[in-house]
Amino acid sequence: MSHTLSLRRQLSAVLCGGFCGTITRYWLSQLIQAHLGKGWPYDIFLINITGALLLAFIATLADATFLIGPTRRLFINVGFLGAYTTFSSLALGDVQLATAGYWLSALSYLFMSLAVGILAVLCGDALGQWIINRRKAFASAKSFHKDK
Amino acid sequence: MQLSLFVQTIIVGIAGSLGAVTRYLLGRIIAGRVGSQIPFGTLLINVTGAFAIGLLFALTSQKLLSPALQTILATGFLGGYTTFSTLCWEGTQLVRKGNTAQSFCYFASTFVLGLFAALLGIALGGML
Repeated sequence: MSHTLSLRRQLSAVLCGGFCGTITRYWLSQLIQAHLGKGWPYDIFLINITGALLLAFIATLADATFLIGPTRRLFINVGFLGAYTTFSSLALGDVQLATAGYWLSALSYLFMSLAVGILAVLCGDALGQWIINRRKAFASAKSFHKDK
Repeated sequence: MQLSLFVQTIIVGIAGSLGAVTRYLLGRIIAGRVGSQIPFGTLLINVTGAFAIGLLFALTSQKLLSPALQTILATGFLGGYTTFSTLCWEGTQLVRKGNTAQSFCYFASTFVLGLFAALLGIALGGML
């Protein structure tokens, strides 16, 4: 699918998306920390969960070739959401909590990220399917009226 | 090194965009060579990124690296390089294709190896 695009176009899409995604994470993380504190890593958790939800939503639309073409998919999913979410900060944050003796926080951070992340993917997917089905129903209703 | 917040944000963004491109290219190369259902590309990227962030953290604690440079490299480059959203998506897709065991292996190996790699990075950085 993405192989029909030139390499230069693919790389520019990922580069621009990555730039925007990283800045959004950097800015949002400071904002969340200012409001919810630094005790439990709410910032990375919320960023990762929302990113997983959006990624599944966009991928579902792209697979149905609705609104999202190959370049947009690279820009949003691989570039923006790939850079917006992060695994390295999650791993470091978890190890820091565990080595500081906060075992319960470390375990809850790990399992909440995993469980809610999978749940977010399922929700994003369902949301995408719902929109595609609505559009299909709308299109067939339209053609039905035309036939009459 | 004291940077204004605006300049720092732009540099973090540039570092992140380079991380994202590295992830994309590396993922493509690995996917082309390893014909496996398990996405080894993302696995390798996340585990090496976790190791590097541990190393950077230890180097900064020992004052071998300035906090500003740590932010650029860790929050910028490594944040753009590693990814959580693709990890969840790929793992869920494996279940959907009926490869539940492989999905479990993928999630478990990413988290176990990733946490271990971060610990190893911190330990190695502490020895330098």
